[in-house]
Amino acid sequence: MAHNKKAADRRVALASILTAVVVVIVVFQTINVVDYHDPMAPSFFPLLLAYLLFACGLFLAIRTWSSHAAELQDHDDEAPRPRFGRGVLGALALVLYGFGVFYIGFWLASFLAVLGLGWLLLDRDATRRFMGLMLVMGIVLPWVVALMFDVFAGVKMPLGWGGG
Amino acid sequence: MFDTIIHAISELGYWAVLSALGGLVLGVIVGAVPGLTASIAVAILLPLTFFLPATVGIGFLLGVYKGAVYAGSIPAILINTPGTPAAAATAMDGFAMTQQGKAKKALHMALFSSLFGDLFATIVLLSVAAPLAAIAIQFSAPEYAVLFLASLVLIATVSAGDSLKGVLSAIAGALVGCIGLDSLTVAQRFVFDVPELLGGVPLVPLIVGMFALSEVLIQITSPLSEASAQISRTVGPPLQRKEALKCLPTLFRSTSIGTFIGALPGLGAEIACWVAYGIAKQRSKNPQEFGKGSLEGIAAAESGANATVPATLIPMLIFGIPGDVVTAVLIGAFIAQGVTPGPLLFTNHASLVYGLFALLVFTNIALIFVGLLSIRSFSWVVRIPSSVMMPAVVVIAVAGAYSIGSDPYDVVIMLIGGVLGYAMRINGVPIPPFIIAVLLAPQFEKMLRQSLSLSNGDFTIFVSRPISASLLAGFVLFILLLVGKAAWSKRRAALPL
Repeated sequence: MAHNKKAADRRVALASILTAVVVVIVVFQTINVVDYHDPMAPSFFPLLLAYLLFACGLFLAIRTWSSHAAELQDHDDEAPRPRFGRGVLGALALVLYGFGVFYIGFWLASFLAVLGLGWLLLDRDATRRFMGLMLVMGIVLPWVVALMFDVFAGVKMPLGWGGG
Repeated sequence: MFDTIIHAISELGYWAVLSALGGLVLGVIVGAVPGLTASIAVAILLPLTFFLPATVGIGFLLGVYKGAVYAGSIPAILINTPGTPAAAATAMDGFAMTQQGKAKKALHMALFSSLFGDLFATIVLLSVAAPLAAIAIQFSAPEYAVLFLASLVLIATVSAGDSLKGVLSAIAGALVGCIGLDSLTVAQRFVFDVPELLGGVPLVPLIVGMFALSEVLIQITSPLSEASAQISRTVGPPLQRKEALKCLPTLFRSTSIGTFIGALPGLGAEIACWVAYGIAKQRSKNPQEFGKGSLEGIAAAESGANATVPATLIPMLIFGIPGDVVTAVLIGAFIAQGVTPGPLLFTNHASLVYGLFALLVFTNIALIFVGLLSIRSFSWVVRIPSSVMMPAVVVIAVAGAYSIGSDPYDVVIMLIGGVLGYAMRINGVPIPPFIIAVLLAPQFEKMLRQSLSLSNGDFTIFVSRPISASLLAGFVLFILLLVGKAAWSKRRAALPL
């Protein structure tokens, strides 16, 4: 999936090292014990993991920076590039849907989510072909899902501001 | 044992059988849609089972799991698009046969091989589970610590392309597993005054987010290069008995491989199908036919992949160690029912375990009919673009996460999981080691600290006890073998032809 392995490896290495440092700081700031490295202390295991994460992240960083650029470059100029702009829109749509469920209710939020995600997922031709199906799905699916969870699980989906 | 089995079957009831059948049909539909995997289906359906009796709920999930792994072969054969990653090897020969107008033969072979692999592995599960559980009862903290460590390292190193990233993923997952109250001292760790975090990160919304929502984001960002799927109109003659019998040696060999691989934590159907396929090609009298429409190729890939389904239940039921994401979700289903997988499961909940085994056999028989029907009727399913199904997945996922505790917090965790899963996937970091580490880390930590407290902090406790020393030696040997094999393959590839 990674379009450029070297860049991806660098990001992963950096994220691992930063996470490890943050974990160590948080452990020393928030857990109050006499000996942080005593096996019975609650700080022992997270610190052990943080040191391991740091070491592995550092190893990945050294491996990535020291290796030949060509070795790790699986960049294919001919291959279609992932549409990251749409990814950001998709993530935003998911977050809005997640919160929208509690503000405008499950039914309306789901209807809008089906249409929005459908628009993001399909190309122009397919959007025209499947728009009718998406509209029906947007209306029917939330009702079916809500009914299913109500009957089997006894859970009522949120109604939003209008209904609590 | 036979009395227990008969008692368990008599206690099953119609609802358990019907739910397993329903799960199987649903699994076949899900597996036939490219992009929807067994992991996604089992994860988003899990919350529904919390409110059902154990045999009904877990039987349903087992049906979904089985159906999805089998049905991945349908689009693989018909449109060269594996419905699930485990059907990737099947596509090589299956689609070649479809192009030759022999789709029906290929689909029948896939069904026959799936049934064969699944049944064989179920028999193995039935025969080894109880004796292994009897041995596992003798395990104490050091043995469990070694076993958990070995499983985590194995999952991290073999379930991904880049082992180092797999290890990083497992460590990050273990850190997430540390969130909440420490089980031994009840100290708060990484809680940041958020009361919901005291109980730890809820696993089910996290799994749903990391798999289902990240898949939606992946589909949104994928380049529009999907070719319109055309199913061959000529399906050709059905599979002949002679042709099926000719593949029996391949079926036995591949099923044994699949069962062995499935029983090892971290190695699932995705790996088993390729190993079985590769060995079948090496041993075949007609290796040149592989990739060009070989029935043997389909038999090897399908029986190898499907044999892993019952086999992955072996470490899960006996040691409480999930071999893959589906079994991690299944552990969640067991825990939600108040049942903890482990050696005592066979004594404390024998009727549940044997009832589930009976459902495994039942779904195997039912798969004959469901499979034949699916070959005839589900060709429309493979034509639905996954991009149409994905919004439905999101709606079910949100409803499922909310239903766990009628709490917006679960939905938030799911959304965070979705974005995190997407970030991991685009950077080539595998998700399964992360999920399994979240689940195993608290138990591993507990066993590790208990062992060290027994030995006053002396790490030699793990090599001074016979069982833990043998487990450790076996694990080190296995890792050395893997490393040696990888180095040998690399060296061989570097040699001039």
